[in-house]
Amino acid sequence: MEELSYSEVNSSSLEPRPIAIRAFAWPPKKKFRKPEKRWNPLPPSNWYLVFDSETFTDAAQQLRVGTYQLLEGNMVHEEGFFYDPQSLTAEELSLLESYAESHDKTIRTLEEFIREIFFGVFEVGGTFLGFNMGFDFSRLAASHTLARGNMQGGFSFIFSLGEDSRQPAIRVKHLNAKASMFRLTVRPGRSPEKRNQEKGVEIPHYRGYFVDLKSLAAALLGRTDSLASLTDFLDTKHKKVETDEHGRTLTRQYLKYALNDVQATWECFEILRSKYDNLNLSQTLISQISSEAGLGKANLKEMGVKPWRSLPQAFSLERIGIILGTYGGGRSEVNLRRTIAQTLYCDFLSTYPSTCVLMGIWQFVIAQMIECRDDDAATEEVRHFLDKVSLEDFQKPETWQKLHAIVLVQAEGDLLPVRAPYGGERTLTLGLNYLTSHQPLWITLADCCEAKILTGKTPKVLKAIMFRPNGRQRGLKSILLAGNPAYPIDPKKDDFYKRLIDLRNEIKKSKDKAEKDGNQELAFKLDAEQKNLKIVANSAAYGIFLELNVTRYEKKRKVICYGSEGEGFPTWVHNIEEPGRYFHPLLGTWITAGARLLLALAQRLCEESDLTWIFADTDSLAITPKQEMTFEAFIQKVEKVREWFAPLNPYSKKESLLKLEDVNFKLENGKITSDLEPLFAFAVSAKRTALFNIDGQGCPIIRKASAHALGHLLRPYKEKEAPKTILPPAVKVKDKIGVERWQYDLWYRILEAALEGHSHQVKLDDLPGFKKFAVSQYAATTPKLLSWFDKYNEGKPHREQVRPFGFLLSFFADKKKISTEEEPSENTEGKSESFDDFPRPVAPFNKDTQAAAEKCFDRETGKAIPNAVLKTYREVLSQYHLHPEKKFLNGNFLDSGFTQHRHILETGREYIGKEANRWEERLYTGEDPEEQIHYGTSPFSQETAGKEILEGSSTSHRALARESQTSRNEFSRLRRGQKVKAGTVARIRQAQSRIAAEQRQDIEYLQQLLEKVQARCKETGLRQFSKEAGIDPGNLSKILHGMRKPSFADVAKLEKPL
Amino acid sequence: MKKIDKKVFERHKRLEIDYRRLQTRNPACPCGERNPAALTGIFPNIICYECLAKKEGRSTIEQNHVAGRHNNPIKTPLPGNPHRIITREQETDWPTETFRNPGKNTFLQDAAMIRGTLLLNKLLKGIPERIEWLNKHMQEKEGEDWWKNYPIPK
Repeated sequence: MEELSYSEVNSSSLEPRPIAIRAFAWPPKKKFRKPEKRWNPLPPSNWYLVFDSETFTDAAQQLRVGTYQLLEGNMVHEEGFFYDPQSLTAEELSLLESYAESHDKTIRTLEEFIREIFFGVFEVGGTFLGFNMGFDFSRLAASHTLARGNMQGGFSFIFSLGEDSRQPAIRVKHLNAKASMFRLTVRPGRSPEKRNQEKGVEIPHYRGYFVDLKSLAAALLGRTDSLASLTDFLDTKHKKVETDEHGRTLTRQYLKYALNDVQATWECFEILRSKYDNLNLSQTLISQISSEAGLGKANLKEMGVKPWRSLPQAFSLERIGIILGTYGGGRSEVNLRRTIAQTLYCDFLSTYPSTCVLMGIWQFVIAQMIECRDDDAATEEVRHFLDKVSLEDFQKPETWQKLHAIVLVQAEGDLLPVRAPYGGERTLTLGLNYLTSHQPLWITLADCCEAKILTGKTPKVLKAIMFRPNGRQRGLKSILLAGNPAYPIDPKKDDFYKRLIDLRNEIKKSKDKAEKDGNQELAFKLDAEQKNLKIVANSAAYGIFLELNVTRYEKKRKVICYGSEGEGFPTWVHNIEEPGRYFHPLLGTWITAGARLLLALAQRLCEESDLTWIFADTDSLAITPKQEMTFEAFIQKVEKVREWFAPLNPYSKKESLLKLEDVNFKLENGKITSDLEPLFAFAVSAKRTALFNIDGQGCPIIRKASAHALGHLLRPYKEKEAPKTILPPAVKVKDKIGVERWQYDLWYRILEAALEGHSHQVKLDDLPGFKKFAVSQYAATTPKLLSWFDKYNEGKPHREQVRPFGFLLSFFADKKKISTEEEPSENTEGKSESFDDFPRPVAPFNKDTQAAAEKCFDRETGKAIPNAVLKTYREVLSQYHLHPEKKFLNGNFLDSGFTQHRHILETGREYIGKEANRWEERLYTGEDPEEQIHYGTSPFSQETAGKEILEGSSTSHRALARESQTSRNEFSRLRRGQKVKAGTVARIRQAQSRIAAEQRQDIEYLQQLLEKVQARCKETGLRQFSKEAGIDPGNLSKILHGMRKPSFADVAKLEKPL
Repeated sequence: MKKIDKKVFERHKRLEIDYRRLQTRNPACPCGERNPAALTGIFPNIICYECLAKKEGRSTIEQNHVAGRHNNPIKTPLPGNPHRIITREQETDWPTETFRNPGKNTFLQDAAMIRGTLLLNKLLKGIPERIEWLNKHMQEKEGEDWWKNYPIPK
């Protein structure tokens, strides 16, 4: 398909669709302003308990033997084993005893270990150290319950203590794949804190000190590691050893392995601790760093920056609702789909920090208060700015300082970031599309500028609110950045973000020099340092301002939802969002909008230079020539685009803000040279992209590929089993290309097929293990996930149950296979089975995943699932290369070429919150609509909503009422225009869009089917095909010519030969 | 490897409670007293018992039950800070049955008296050596009978 200009696309047909807008919800009566805590936490003592547990490899993963080290400072007081007497045979116990004696190690039973050591360490104020400690606590616990209070959504582990039952429980809340939160419950009886509290001093309770190395390493190093890769990366003296002996009879070798694990964990901690100490963050304990955002926050805290929420002049909740409504994340889009094209892959230098510097965000961070101007003069000022502003103006840094506003626009076919359930997907995605709306919409001024830059059309501004920092917070103090004496930062004078990036550039320069001089050790150290600064810069420049921690409650709770109308309305939700320490929605929304504007500028410049782009992802752009041109000419044009951004570079090192990525440069012996080499890109859909060179034989040399939607699958085969017909990767597959070997092989096959001219037919037959059942492994990290095993656990003693943080296996059921296995049945509620009622197979953990498939059951009903309906890797991935880019037109399965922006006609507006922090869970287990927080529609627009719904619906009212689970009574109230509950309208709208989506999906499926039939008929002839399908050729001809609508029976017949 | 000595652990546990009570790991009174057992208040307003007594106009000398109040009524005068340090030792290092002695067992009472005396001795440890050192130093400086030149109370 030809690429259309923005004005051409604008006239394309309107698609009526509801859109979703972020809102802010807050429990009634709860104070939003949160004064700063007066007390800094007491640091831990120098006692440490490092421990690890070894388990059986069955479903329950019960503890067998554990290893530990009890240290005071660096001195080991005790090192040894603890064991569960019920899990060891007499022979194993005697082996353990003899091993402990011969190696001078201590041995304790689990109960003794818990009583004497485990809780002893708590009482001496020591730190618990482990790798993925949630799993270990769960193995050691005698039972568990659901955590309450601020740890709601987590687990509370209770330990067997014999007669002494006064010890607290440990609560663990899983935050994301990298981080969990650990806390002690308050111990019964009196404590020093309680005594102080009785004296009227607000001292927090003692909650223990926990350091999970998995989280700490992720925060400090910015990488997700296993203990093995972490020991390799940190080059510890003791490396994690791999073993196949898990679950087998204990051997001396295995005991040695278990002891080694604990030592390796301690050594990793020592290195990470010294790295953390170098950062000089005295106000934040190492046990408080559980994510990258934690580092950003720690730096601000160190400088004495007060959270905006603690300042007396924070905005009203209504205004926060309006501001949050303007939020949209990064853009991830494909412009040229499933077509190989030459590219130069560029990205912006530290996009979010750069945006912060350009927009002068630091002044807002340290401001004592933020002044708002929402009078007519402010609106006029913004209108004037928008009318006058041009592409060239954005080359001047001062223009960026004028973007401190949000505007109310009347969208009339303006190109704006629109969040909607595109293409029938229930997941809401953000896409830059044309929007026409009858209701005004709040957006950032930067988004307005983006629309103007890309289309030339200025959105109609109805109102504007301008913001200005006023005053400076008291108590700001200078710090040494990353503990580097050469880099002091005075928060009053310096721009924190600029200094951070300057220091990073300097360290990078020193790293390059060290590399050239052959000093690999120093280069490695400097590289780690610069990466750490990158983490700090990114977290402090964006993440912390929009930190909203979601807590899921079993029962719905009342909140007041503040949306873009400015007024709050009550609604009831399961998930409640609690803002983080430095939550500042205004800055968060400006920064992301600023970053999108940078990307839009690059796109516009490309267009002006006879260039276009293949895909974009937040801050990166794969540029391609519009027409055929020489490589040199292409480079020159891209250089021109890059040069345009040079004046915007705010840093000491003068270079363009838009830089060429390493993948553009030639590889020699696995090392990157300074010569550019023709690079090609193949983009399926957002985040499913690959960059590659082509060798002399026309084979792809993959330089970068995405593991998106692949990462959750367990590898089907080992690296050494990779097929010989695939060229091995030229660089380290995981570190440099960004995927595992089997994922590399999949991409190789996709690219190979595209290069051979049949991009829709990818050969996956010879990939070993692709005939196995596709399986994902995940941990039961939340009560909801664990509840899938309620039926399995029923009646089993605790030690045989699947427990929190234990591993589970998830398989994939095939819709087609199910329909042939059993006839669709009416369920108990009399509702016919929809897609959602299809089984979601899960199985208890088993090392042999294929054997686990035998024990598959439906996670909802607990009904056993036969193997025959499970999908293999080949089946699961057969359409990976066809994945649609549904937010745009021409993005369907078999579509290729340029995608086009949709033109959305807003039919409704739903307020949503942040999706719960469980994206990986959603990925593994399929989309779960409950995870997205829906606040419903505002009652202020309900009066018209009822009429709109009923008039605009093509579905029968009865079906709509059933799908939305609305009572007839409520439905008739709506019909009469009477007031209904706030959630009802939203529910009906959702049901309406669900039904419409399903209908759209059916139509799309039918179109694809007919395309395939047509193709097949061309090959074999219409008569032959109709014979194979068992359909009358006359009818088939009519169907193919659109003269007859195929019945369900016809569709089934047509599917058969395909 | 031997199991950790419970006493070492217990001592640290007690110390930890003090740190949590004082909300700092480096507690100190402006007068220089650093033993957590002798300190009170919450960081940064930490004060020792003797300074507190002075501030409140009370005597800094307190009466110490040598064997513990449950065992023997014999008392010795002690400054407030050492009194608290000694009491802490009685509480943590002595066997609970000896310190509390609810049955008034005479053997335990005797044991407590000896423990109490040893504890006082422990408190005085080093002081005779220091006095002897001072005498030698003064003799070298001012002669054999240096003490006759000063109105030292007997």
